[in-house]
Formats: sequence, C-alpha cells, structure tokens
Amino acid sequence: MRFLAPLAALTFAGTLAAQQPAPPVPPPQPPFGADSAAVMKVVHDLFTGMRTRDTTLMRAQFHPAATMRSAGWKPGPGGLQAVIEEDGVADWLGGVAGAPANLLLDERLGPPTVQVDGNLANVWVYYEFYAGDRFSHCGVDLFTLGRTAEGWKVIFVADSRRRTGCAQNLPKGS
Amino acid sequence: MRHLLANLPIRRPGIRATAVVRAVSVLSAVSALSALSLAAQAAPPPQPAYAADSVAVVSVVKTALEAMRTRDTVLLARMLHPSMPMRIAAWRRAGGVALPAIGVDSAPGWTHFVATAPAEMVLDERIGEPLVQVDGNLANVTAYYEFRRGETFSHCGADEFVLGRTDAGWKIIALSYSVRTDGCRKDLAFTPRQLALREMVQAERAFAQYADTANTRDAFLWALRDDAITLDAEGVKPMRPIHQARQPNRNHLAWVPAWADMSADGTMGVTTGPWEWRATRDAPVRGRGQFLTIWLKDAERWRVFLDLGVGGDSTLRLDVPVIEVAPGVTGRARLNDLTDLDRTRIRGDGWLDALRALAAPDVRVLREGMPLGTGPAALSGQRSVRFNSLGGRVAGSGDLAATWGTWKDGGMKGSYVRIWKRTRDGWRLVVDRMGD
Repeated sequence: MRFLAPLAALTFAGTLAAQQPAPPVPPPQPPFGADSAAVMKVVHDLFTGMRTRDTTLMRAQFHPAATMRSAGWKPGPGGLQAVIEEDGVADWLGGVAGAPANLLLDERLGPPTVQVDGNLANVWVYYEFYAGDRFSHCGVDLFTLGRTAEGWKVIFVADSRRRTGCAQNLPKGS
Repeated sequence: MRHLLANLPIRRPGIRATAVVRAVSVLSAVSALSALSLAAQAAPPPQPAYAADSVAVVSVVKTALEAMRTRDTVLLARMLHPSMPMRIAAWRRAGGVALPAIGVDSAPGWTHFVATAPAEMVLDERIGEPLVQVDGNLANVTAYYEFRRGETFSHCGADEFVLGRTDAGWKIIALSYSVRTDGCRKDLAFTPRQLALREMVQAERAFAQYADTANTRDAFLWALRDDAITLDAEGVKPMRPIHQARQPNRNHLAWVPAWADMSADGTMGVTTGPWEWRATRDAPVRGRGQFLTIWLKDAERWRVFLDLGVGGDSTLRLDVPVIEVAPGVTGRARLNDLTDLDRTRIRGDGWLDALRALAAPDVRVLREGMPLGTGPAALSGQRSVRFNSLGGRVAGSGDLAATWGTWKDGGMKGSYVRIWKRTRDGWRLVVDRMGD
C-alpha cells in the first residue's frame, strides 16, 4: 500500500507492491448486509455499555490501537476557536465509570450511514446526548471500524458537538 | 523533515482531564465545569454553507494526494493535523492463512514514506467521486481509490479521510484505508484538463519556489512570457521590461495557489492565492494580499501571460489547499461576447447589480485593502465607478475567458480583471479583481 512505511511493511509485507510477493488471497467476503449489521452491533453494544456502565463490554468493542478525536470549540482571545481534542479510549471509559451512579448516560442515535470496503467500515450517525432525561447536546458520531480475526473492532472515533440546530426528537434508548 | 519536528503536537497539560468531556460532555451538562462545555453553550460563529465546507475538505484531500505525487512533503504536512492517526485495514499471513489485521501508522510515517520512496517512482493515488459528510467542525470524505507505483497498478480500496476544522482551516485528523487487489476496477484516470490543471499548479509552485530560493526578479523573468502583461490605472503594461529593469534583491515574496481553473483544451488556466511580502526572508511580514495569474501553455511549458494582485488582506494564510475548479461548458470562442458584457452590461449606475447578476455563486472577489470575499454579495463598489474595457482573452475551447481594463471614480482610479467561465446558463464571472 501506498504509505506502507517500513514498519508496517514488516507486518503487511504482502501488501507492498512491485518487488514484493503477491498479497495473500483473502477468503470470500460476507455480503454488505452482514457486515453492515455486524458493524452496527458494535456501535450499539458500545452505547448499551455506556447506559449500563458496562465498561468491559465497551472496551471489547475497541481495537487496542483505537484513538478518539473531538471537533469542537474552545474560548480563545478573539472569541471561540475551532479545536481538535485528542482523547483516549481509557479516558472515555474512565469518564463513564466515574459518572454519578444514578445518572443515565443516554446517547441516542439517528439513522446511520454505513460504508464497508473490504476490511474497513465507517458509520456516520447523528446523535443527541441526554444526561438522565436532560438534553445536553447533539452532533455526529463517526466510527471507523476494521475487520480483525476477532470480528469488527472500532479503530477510530470522532465526534462533533453542538447545541444549535439539535432536533431533540430521538426517542429514549434509540 | 525539520518542518515535521516543528509541527509535533503540543500536549496540553491536563489533556486527560478534558478528554473525559466526550463521554461526559455529558457531565458537562450537569456540572458545567469544563471549558469545552462552556464553549458548547456559547453560540459558535456563523458557519459556512455545506457547499463551501464540502469544496474545502475535498480540496484538502486532493492537495494531500497531489503532494504525495509531487513528493512535496512540506505541502503534505500542511494538510495534516500533526496528531493524525493512520490505520490500515489489510491482511496478514499467519501459518499460510490470510487473517484480517489492522496496521498502525501516523502523519510523520506518511510524510517519511513519501520522502524516502525511490525518487523515480511516482506515488500515484487516484480517487473516485468522493462521498462528503459535514457536521459542524467534523467532516468525512470517503472514496474508492487506486494506487499505482509509476505505471504499475498496485492495489485499490477505500480511503476514509476524517477532517476537523481548526483555526488554520480544515485539516486531516485521521486517515484509514482498506487494501485489496481483488475487484479493483483499474479505471480511474485523469482527464487531459485535470492533467493540464495539475501541470499549471506545479508550474505555479515551481515559480514560487524559484522566488524563495533565488530572488523574485529572476523568478518572474523565468515565468513570464515575452508578451506578458499587467495593468495599472493607466492601462496595460508589458511585464518583462519592469522586471528586466530591476536588480535582484533580498526582498522575499512568498505565495501559494489556492484556486485553479483550466480550459477544456488545456491551453489556458487561471490561479489565485495568497501572497506575503517581507523586506528580507527573516523580516516580519510587511504586506499581504491575493494574486491573480493567467497562464498559457506554449510549446515548452506553462508561462505567465497576465499577473497582478491586490494588497491589504491581513486574514490570509499560506498553508491552504488548492481548489480545483470543475470543468465548464465548451462553446464558440468569441472574445466579443465577453468584451460586450464589459462594455454594454457592466456600466452606468447599475453596474454592480449587473455584475452580481452575472456572478457565479462562489465568485472570488479580490478588492484592494479587503479580505478575500466569496459570493455575489461580496462584490462591492460605488455606483459612480465607470469602467474602460481594454481587452481580453478567451480559450480556444470557449469555456474560460478573461477581460480587463481600467476604472475611474471621481479622483480615484485603478484597473480591473474579470475571469469568466461558460456554464449551462451562459458566461459567469468566477473571479473579480479591482485594485490600484
């Protein structure tokens, strides 16, 4: 592959072009519908885990190399500045574990867009976040998933966050 | 790689504390303690339309791939957020069996790969029509891609570029791609117009690099055609004599193309973009503005036919991607059609309304002393301005043209250049420049 940097080349020697041996022939792939359903199950398990405070279930959905980013705003000298926050999965799980015990962390999802190509998938989905019954904010969750020997795992998460233009019409637990 | 070191992400102290905000952007609602939650409560500034963001994010992606093709690691790094994770969904062999596996790389890993690949090998990644999604400060660009090393097809898959809005514009904040060799269409190709456009953009970057490494005067003499012109308030001026009369000096003029259009026949193109001027390379910036250049292809290479600009835009940055304008509609190439618009439509007290009616929705507006504007509403000027049309040029394919002349308004005067593109609705103004 293109950037196949030397490091990656060690593990993915097959994918290096030209002078390299041909890549291993993958087994027949599942149809899109099966992958799409499997990918969405990962996403739903993640938020079920957040609602039930089951961080073990949440952690099981991630690839060890997963990272998170958040695209939001922060106050700057000249007003709000667009900023990219770097988060880690452990921070998220820690936040979930440490939230007040009686508070429902209810991330409600709209209709997702799912794309699958080979071992890569992504999900783009509008969300509304409720702390208990109280609306907090909305935005989009973006999940990138990779197929592994253990099934689809989340390899990257990003979200946008806003309080304007939120429809606030997603039913509880969606 | 010095630039990469300079760009290494600065880890904010307390990042772990604010990182919790995600799950618990959540708790922010309850405790309202974190800075981010407060920011979320304040209304963000008005956002650009989806179309503008969509064009911007695709231009970042295409500029990054073009930088890989031309081995411009400085340009490539400018398109990436330094913390960008790169994930590769591929296969590995284990005991004779192919197993799916995730490869891990990074922004420095990508630029390092581009910098160290064999010099004679073109890293040619082409993408199909991208799917673009934008929400607030987050965008997702996915596309089928094909990768070739020089002429040799290597593999295909899906690219997923995640972009985030920063105060330096949209940057790629994550890149993931699948890798496969089965089911590749092997049909992505650049049109002659796209190839010509890229060649011209490369000529523009080479021109800027010449000025950077030698001096502005020699760079202009290298780039200018013999018949190159510019304009001032008195009219058209031949450009070569202006630079020939100068001595090379240490003044430092830097610029990048930010917008490029090309005729269907690949003979005439236009670039605009930001420039910065310093008395010497290490001196502070003393002038900023936007340039406008018309390029013609001669038997040998792309050369500058017309060049001028405006000053006074303090908002610009040089780390921007280049927007490749989509093709127009070809037709009969009659210069009179264009100069007639200048002479009979854009005149009298109603000239500004006429100009706005002829403008494309994303017209770029270059005005002396003002930041770059886009859209018909950004077109401005006093009712009392009067124009004097002096000429123009139209591409042989009849889809791209320029007109120019001078203007007067009481005691004030200056020159104008208009770039026109033929659409299904007729000729539309795509760049409008008025200055001294």
